[in-house]
Amino acid sequence: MRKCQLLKPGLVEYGEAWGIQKQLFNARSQNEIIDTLIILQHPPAYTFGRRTINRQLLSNKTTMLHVNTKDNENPPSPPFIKGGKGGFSDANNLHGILFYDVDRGGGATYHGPGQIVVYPVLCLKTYTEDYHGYLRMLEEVMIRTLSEFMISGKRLKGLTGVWVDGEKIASIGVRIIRGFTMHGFSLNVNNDLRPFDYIVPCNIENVRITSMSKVMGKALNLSGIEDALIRHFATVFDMALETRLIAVA
Amino acid sequence: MSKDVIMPQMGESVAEGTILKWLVEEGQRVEKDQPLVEISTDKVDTEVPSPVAGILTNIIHHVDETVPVGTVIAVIEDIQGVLLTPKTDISEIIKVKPEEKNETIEEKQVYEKRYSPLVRRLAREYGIDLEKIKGTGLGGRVTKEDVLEYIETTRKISVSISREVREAEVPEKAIEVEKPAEELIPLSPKRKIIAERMAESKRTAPHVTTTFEIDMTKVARYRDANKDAIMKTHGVHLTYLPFIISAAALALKEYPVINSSWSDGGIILKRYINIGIAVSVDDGLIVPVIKDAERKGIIELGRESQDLAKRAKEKRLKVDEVQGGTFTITNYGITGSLIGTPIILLPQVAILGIGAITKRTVVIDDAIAIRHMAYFSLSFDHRVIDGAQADQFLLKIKTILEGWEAKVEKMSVTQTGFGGVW
Repeated sequence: MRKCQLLKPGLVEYGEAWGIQKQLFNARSQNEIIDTLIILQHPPAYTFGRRTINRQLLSNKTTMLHVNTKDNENPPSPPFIKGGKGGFSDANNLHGILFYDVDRGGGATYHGPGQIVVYPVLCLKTYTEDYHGYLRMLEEVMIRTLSEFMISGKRLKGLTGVWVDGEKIASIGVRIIRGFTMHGFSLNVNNDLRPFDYIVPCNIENVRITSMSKVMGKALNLSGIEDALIRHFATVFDMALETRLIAVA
Repeated sequence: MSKDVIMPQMGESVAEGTILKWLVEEGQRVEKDQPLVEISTDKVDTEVPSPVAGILTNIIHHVDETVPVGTVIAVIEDIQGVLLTPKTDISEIIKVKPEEKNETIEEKQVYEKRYSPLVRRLAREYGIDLEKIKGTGLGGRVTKEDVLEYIETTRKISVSISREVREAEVPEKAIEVEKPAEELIPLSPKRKIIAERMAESKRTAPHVTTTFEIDMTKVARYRDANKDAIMKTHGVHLTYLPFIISAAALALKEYPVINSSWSDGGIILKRYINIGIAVSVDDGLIVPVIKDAERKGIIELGRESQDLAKRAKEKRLKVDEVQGGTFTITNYGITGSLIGTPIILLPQVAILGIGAITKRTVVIDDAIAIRHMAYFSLSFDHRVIDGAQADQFLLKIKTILEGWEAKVEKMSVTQTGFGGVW
């Protein structure tokens, strides 16, 4: 049985989590650690994938507010880890929400508390050789999880992610280098959906974003959904997931 | 020779990819496997590594272009073809050398020479033996131009020598340049990796080393009593090492923090115990790994460690046999050292060094006794482990090794080895 360790660091600032991901990714690609699944939440953050077509943030849907991302194209390395929030210019801090240009596929998205974010750091070829097959597996994990909560998640052809009644409930964006993966997916559960109004999520104009609590009409217990995600991840990827003790220094 | 770079096949369902960014410009050199270009397909970003070392001569498809899988997107000129140009230069210089040899021999026959003050000053400044220069001036006199030319040529030659030091088939004497006082040995990839890892470890992990003296007499007795039988029944030459690996594995199980690694997110405890054994080989050091050491008996540990060491020296280790270590043992006692302060192999957090096992006089119950003694030193990463934990861990190893008889009593010899924990 393929083994995978599970890290649940809780609520982690995006840049810091990105740094941890990179460390784990490097360690994984040098075979120093086994496959690792990180499951966490972020404080509010906008992230732009490399293929973000419209980098502009919309203000009130009418006034276009241009953001100069030039200075931001080569984030310091390790990204934003050390300086904390002090090093950001106003341009990186819109409506009080930090944003990051990141090295993953896909377009713009928003992360915030109440949304479950999963980063699998895997040696992909032990599961599939097919990059798009990997995306389908991630969707499968979320669709099975949603069904456990009586929500019918669907795939829309050509529009990677998971959809509920034509509204997007989960987003995917990954990076695969030499067969090792990082970044992953985010599933909206209880999070505030208004910040999505200021961007063009996943390069899809006029897309409607939804969340599990919006569909269910009530706030949900995050840990129950996390457990379901972990369980279905283990099934879909046919692996044994083991929680690692993390002593936070 | 040129090599095509193609849009890679990223899976059956992936038909095309988009170029995001060229990481190398046309005309730049690339190493094999160096990331060349970032590409994207749907929600996946990836990189294409260079198939060969060479020069990126031609980018065919540019940023934002989407092309089908299999399309040639760039051309790399192979390094061999590229190197030819500068090489001709060098060979010309080499050709000069044999002639020079003749010249210097001729010189010996020329009677005592006189030099102008300017020539003497130049010779002093550059530290040149004027006898070695053939004069082109009146009556074979050495002129300023001769000296300058000589300086120029010797400099070129010494450059070419250091570059060609390995393949130079010319007998040494043909090179009329004095042997330099220093020699440059090119770095082998292995040396580079060792250098990087050692420096990286010392830079990031605050090392502390603690040393215990351990009485190996009981292990020695056990070994003496059993080694012939074990050789006969199992074909394994029993050394001290398997006892030490076994004791370390047990102690790691009891003190898991020694079997962990550091990450900025926290300390990662590992529930598997894979012990690396540092083996000295011709061109450096290699650390093959014994997986799940806590589940193996001393005979198995002995067989495996000897097999790994042997194959390490023969360069026949498989990749996965040198990976995944969670703790390392280095046995510098083999070469006579008593105490060492080994460097931790990141991302591990500790390394155990074994000094030579020698007979020493020790005081036991106020009597002087002769015992087999050894110093065990543990270097640990003080970010993760504190001194008290490190000492408890070493004490555990000490207790196991010094109490070996007690352990032995519990064991029953079976056909396949020993039962119980070992």
